This record gives sequence, C-alpha cells and structure tokens, in this order.
Amino acid sequence: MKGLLLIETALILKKKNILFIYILGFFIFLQVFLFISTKNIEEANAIISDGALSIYGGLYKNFSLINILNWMTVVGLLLIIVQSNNSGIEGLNTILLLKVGNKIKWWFSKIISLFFLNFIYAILFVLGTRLIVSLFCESSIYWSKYTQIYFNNIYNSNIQTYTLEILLFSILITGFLALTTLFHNINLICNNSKCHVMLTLISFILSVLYINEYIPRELSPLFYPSTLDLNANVSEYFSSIKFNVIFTLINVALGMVIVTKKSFVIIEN
Amino acid sequence: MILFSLKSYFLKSKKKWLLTFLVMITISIVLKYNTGVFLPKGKDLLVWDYIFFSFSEPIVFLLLAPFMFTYLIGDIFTYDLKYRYLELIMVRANKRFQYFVSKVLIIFISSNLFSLCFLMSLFTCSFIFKMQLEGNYYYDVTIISLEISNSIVHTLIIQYILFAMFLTALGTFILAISILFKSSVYGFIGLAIFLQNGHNAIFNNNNAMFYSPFAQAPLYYHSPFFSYLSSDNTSTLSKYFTISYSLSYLYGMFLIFFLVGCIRFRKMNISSKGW
Repeated sequence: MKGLLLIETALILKKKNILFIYILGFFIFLQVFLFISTKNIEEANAIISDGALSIYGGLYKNFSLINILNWMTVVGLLLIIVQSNNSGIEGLNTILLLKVGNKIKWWFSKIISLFFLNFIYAILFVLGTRLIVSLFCESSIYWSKYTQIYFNNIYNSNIQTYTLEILLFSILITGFLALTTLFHNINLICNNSKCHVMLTLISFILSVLYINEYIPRELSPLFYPSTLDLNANVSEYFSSIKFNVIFTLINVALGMVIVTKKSFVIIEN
Repeated sequence: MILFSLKSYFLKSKKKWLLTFLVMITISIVLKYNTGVFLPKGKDLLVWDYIFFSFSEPIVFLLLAPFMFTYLIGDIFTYDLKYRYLELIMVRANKRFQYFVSKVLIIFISSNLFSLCFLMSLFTCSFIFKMQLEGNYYYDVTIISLEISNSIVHTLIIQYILFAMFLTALGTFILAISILFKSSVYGFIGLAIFLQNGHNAIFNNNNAMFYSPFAQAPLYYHSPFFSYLSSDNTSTLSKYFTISYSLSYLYGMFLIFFLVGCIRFRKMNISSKGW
C-alpha cells in the first residue's frame, strides 16, 4: 500500500503538471496586480483578508463574466492536474492493478493521492496569494475601507478577520475535494478523456442557472469551493462545509461501488 | 444509398453534436454579457434584440460557426477513405455521383440543423435570463426591420436562410477540398485564410466584404440595415451589398465547389493513396 501510494503521488509530479503550477503562480500575480490597482483607484486602505477574499473567495451572487472566467481558470488548472491521476485503465495503471490484485485497494490509493494533491494545490494557492499580498498590505483584526466598498455584507456582519480566513480556507479545500471526487466518478463512468471538456461546459451552464435561481446551489459544482455567494454568517459557512464533507464521502463510497461493479475489459471499435 | 449515408453519419457523430450544442449555449451566455455594446444602462434586454445581435456578432460568424461546423462535417469523406470503407461502399453504390450527392445532402441537413440548434440555444439562453418579448427595441436591425416591413419573423427567416446557406457553401468547400487533396487539413488552411479575409473585411476595410465569404452571413452589414447606420453615404457598400447579392454569392460558391468536387470525384483513383 505504501509503495502504491508513493507511485501514485510520484506520477503526478510530471513536468507538465509543474508547468501548470507555474501558470497558477502567474495567475495569482495577475490577480494581485488587479487587486492592488483597484485599491489604489478607490484610494482605500486594504488588509490581507481583503486580498484573500477577492482572489480565492470565489464567485459573487450576481456575477460578471471576468469573475467566472477567473474562477474557472483556478478550477480548470486543478482539474487538468487531477486528470493525470485518473487517466483510465491503460499503461502503468494496468500494471499497478495487476500487481496489487485488488480493485478497491488500487482505487483507494488513487483517492488518497487525490486528497493529497488537493491539499497541496489549495495550500500553494492560498500561501502564494498571502505571500504576494503581504508585500503590499498588512494583516489586521479590523475590517478596512476596501471591505466596506466591495464586501459590504461581510463588513456589516460581526465576523472577525481571522475566523473568516480559516472558514474561507476550509470551504476552499472541502469544495475542491467534493468537486474533484465528483469529476473522478463521472470520468470513471464515462471512460473518456474528452468528457472533461463537456463537464466544464456543463458546470458553467449550471452555475448560470443557479445564479438565475432555477436550481439549488448543491447542483452547480463551480460553487462548491466558493464563499462570496453565501450570506455572511458563520452558521451558513458551516453548513456549506458540512455539505462538502458529506458529498465527498458519498462520492468516495460511490466510486468504490462503481469500481467493484465495473468491468475494465473494453472492446473499442 | 442516401439513407445509408445519413444514418451512418448521424449515428457516428452523436457526441460531436452534443458537445457543439453545449458550446453554443456557453457562447450564448457569453454573448448575453456582451450586449452592453448597444444597450443603454439600466434598460431591459429583449429577446429579438438579443437574437439579431448574436447572429451579427463577429465571434459567431467568424469563429464559432465555421470552425464548429467544420469540426462536425470535416471528416465525412476522409473517414471513409482512411478506414477503407470507400471501396466497400462503392461496390454497393450504383454511381459515384450518388455517393457524392449523399454527402452534399448531409452537409445541407447539418447546416440547417446547426442553424436551428444555434437559434434554439439563443432561445434557451433568453429563457434562462427571463428576457421579455415586447418593449423598447434598441438594436439597429430590429428597429430598421420594424420600420421597413413591420415584421420581425420575416427578418428572422431571412437571417436564418443566410446563415444556413453560408454554412452549406462552406461545407461544400470543405468537402471539395478534402476530395481534391484526399486530406481534411487543407480545408482548415482554407478556413484560416477566409478568417483572415473576413476579419479584414469587418474591422478594417468594409469594401472587402464583397469578396469575403464569411462576411455574407450577418444581416447587420447588409444594405437596408447598414446604409441607415453608416454616416458615409458615398461608399459603394451601402448601396450594392444587399441580401440578394449575398444569396447569389453563396449560391455561386456552392455551385462552383459542387462541380469541382463532383468532377474530381468521378475521375479519382480511389484505391491509391497519392493524388
């Protein structure tokens, strides 16, 4: 099991994936630049939490196109990196499965490495953002003028900055887990690497449907890791985290069932 | 033969059509956020405004329609050639002409289906954003068409015919090129040249629209609509670039490539890989 985990994790550290991490870094740099320039235009003071909210806070309830494109870049990069973990039953995967001789063990190692990957991605994203923002802003326990202008509902609620940041990080990471396990399962059922493009398009359409209040939040995957569309109170944040965790567990269980039932012998034309 | 071709094509490309429809809905949503170009701030967007605006937007007729359509029908001939089905089909078919006509028919039906799908995705999007049917119009095409003929459905039918005819001519071009060179790559090269030409015609030199195939599709640049808008009344574009001109241009393009493909296909050596 230990060796299997090691191989699965090592598989992710390909050259291609490291390139995507560089792209993420560049993206963060761009976002921070936008954040600082809006701060300067408004002539408002800002703290690190403002930067965190505007960069990894997610989607607004009444969103703009730029907002959703930014968010889709973050999620899309994660999905591309994760995709290399689950590239169907071919090549090295077949050899590993033959060596282990147990589908559940094999799949479980994949899931654990997926969790590990999600943690690394989220931590890199959050730490990178905080590091670059901290060059320009200071951390404080009081909300600033920037918060009052852009995140008025959070300014009016009595949540402290550090509490909000911890909540933000937990929603981000649990949301990423829920999203990637869901996509893993769908990939397993479809057995087609092209279905990722379709899934991204469908999730974009679903998020627009949610914004126009046709479907509940639970059905639009892009909103799982997002915080800004929720009302600013702690209980709602906690219910979002609870949903994400339960959804992840359900997905893992479902994946186990599918793996045991599914036949991996595929005859293609 | 014709029925067999249609059946085998639509069974083979189900997933492609699904992906195309999803892309269309995504583009429609993106276009909805781009309507600020003509809509004054704080006013409601109407369904007809949105539909005519979407058909005349450069991203649709320069990028989405040609490239997605080529993605759909680009390999109808080369697929048969590559997997050696062509020789097997030719044994059963009476004439080579029949095979060629069946392929052209696929293009015709697909272009109509494509236009219908795009219209449907626009209606879906307008339903999602709860747009209304009646109110104050702001887009030029709807305003002028109400002034001239007092009917919007009439204008929509003209736009639909233009769009479908444009796609049919383009598809025939792709088919003829792929028969001519026995490869679908050259079709894409041709598309890239057309794209450059169309971009130049729309954004830089409006007089080049007479020759560009991509500029024939949108209604916005045609005579009754564009002449009202352009301040420069002396330009020849405002007088002679009419809908009937575009239709005859597209029909001529369709005929030329139909003949080229037909003659080439009748004299072609199917079994050899060379030219």
